[in-house]
Amino acid sequence: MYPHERSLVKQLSDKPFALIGVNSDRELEQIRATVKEKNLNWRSFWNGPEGTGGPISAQWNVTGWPTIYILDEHGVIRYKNARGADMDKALTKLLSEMGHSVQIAHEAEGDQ
Amino acid sequence: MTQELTPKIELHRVGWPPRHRPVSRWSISRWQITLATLFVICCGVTAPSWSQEARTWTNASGKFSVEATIKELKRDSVVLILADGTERTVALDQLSEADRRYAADYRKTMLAENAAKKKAAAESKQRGEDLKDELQSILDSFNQREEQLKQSGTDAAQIRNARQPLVQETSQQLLKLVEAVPQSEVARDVYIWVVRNGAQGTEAATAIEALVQHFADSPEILPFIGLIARDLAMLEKLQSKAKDKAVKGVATFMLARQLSSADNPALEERVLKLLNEVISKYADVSDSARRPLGPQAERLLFAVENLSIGKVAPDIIGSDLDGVAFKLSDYRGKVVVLDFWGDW
Repeated sequence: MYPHERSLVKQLSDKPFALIGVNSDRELEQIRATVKEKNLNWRSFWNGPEGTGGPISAQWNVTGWPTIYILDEHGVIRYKNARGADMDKALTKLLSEMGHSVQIAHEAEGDQ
Repeated sequence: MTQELTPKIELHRVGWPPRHRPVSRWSISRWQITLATLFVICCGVTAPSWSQEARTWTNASGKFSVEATIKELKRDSVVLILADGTERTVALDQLSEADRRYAADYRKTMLAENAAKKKAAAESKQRGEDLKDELQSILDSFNQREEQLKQSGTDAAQIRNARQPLVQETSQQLLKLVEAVPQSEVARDVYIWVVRNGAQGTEAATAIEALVQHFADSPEILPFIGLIARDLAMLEKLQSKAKDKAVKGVATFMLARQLSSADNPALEERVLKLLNEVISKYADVSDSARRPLGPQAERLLFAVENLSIGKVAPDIIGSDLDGVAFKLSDYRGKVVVLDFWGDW
């Protein structure tokens, strides 16, 4: 997961795109260290000390991790749980709706 | 006996009964039909097979007769169905001698048939009881062979693979054992065993269908509603049949969840109706994990109304991992991947 996400954030850095996480780790210090160590280049809300039982995942009725929503520029939910190549395709489509033509290709990178 | 005009037409022709007299029991009023219908609904008894043919009924004076089949016999009246399908209730003491004898025979037969039915039900239950020993010996044999598998197997996957045919074979034996008494408690235990032990294919389908068919009201099936829910048609059947509050509540919630998972806008109205039913009637019912349905249904309701494809995402107001406050809506105007993640 991490390499794909890192690669997306990097490739689409000059496009109207953002990857926003909702992190459900209980230990804030620990996840901060992980972010640094694994070079996770996206911003995340913290779901609080209750971890997966935290308020954001509860409101969003998340019962499995990871859960992914893809929103268009108007904040409308357009895709759910599109991952990997499906996510790339979805983003290509939504960005093209905004007049941005993108080609997403990922370099091989070992998971860390 | 010659078929004469029906009393109804006769009434009109000769103006009988005269209006100043009390209404004869031969005439039929709306409330009589209603009462009769109510009575039949509450206490109706099916007519014995020999009485299904139409016969001519005649009143005590011999003046009126009508072709009809008997629908139900009460203490002092009889409900007849006329050739045109309408019902008519007639007091027994208004009938001819022959008709009263017929009614008496009918009553005798009816009582005998009811007694036979009761006896058959009791026998079925008894037969179910009688099967308990046999059931136990099949299960003992299964346990013994399963134990042998565990002893001889090298790893968990191998044991699992070898166990499956044993489960199927045992399920077949058990289902055959209770085939004739599908409504007995022993049969229920068999169906539950088959489902719980992970039987597949025909055996699993047979057991699930029988549970839904005969035990939709049995709280014992609660832990298995999740398995039943894999088959949407079965879940729908269970949901509509169940009267037990817990079974009905859990089945209703699961049906809503199942239907909502497709994220199909055409189903949204139905899903919302089911969820509102759970919230208003079954909020305090708990699922097999002992979680009350109310809050779960509220959350799903929110999800269906706000988190389906095509809805504007609810805002998130929170803090990032460095404690800096921000909102999801800060990113309007951008395509956003919202990723619920954790490093585990």
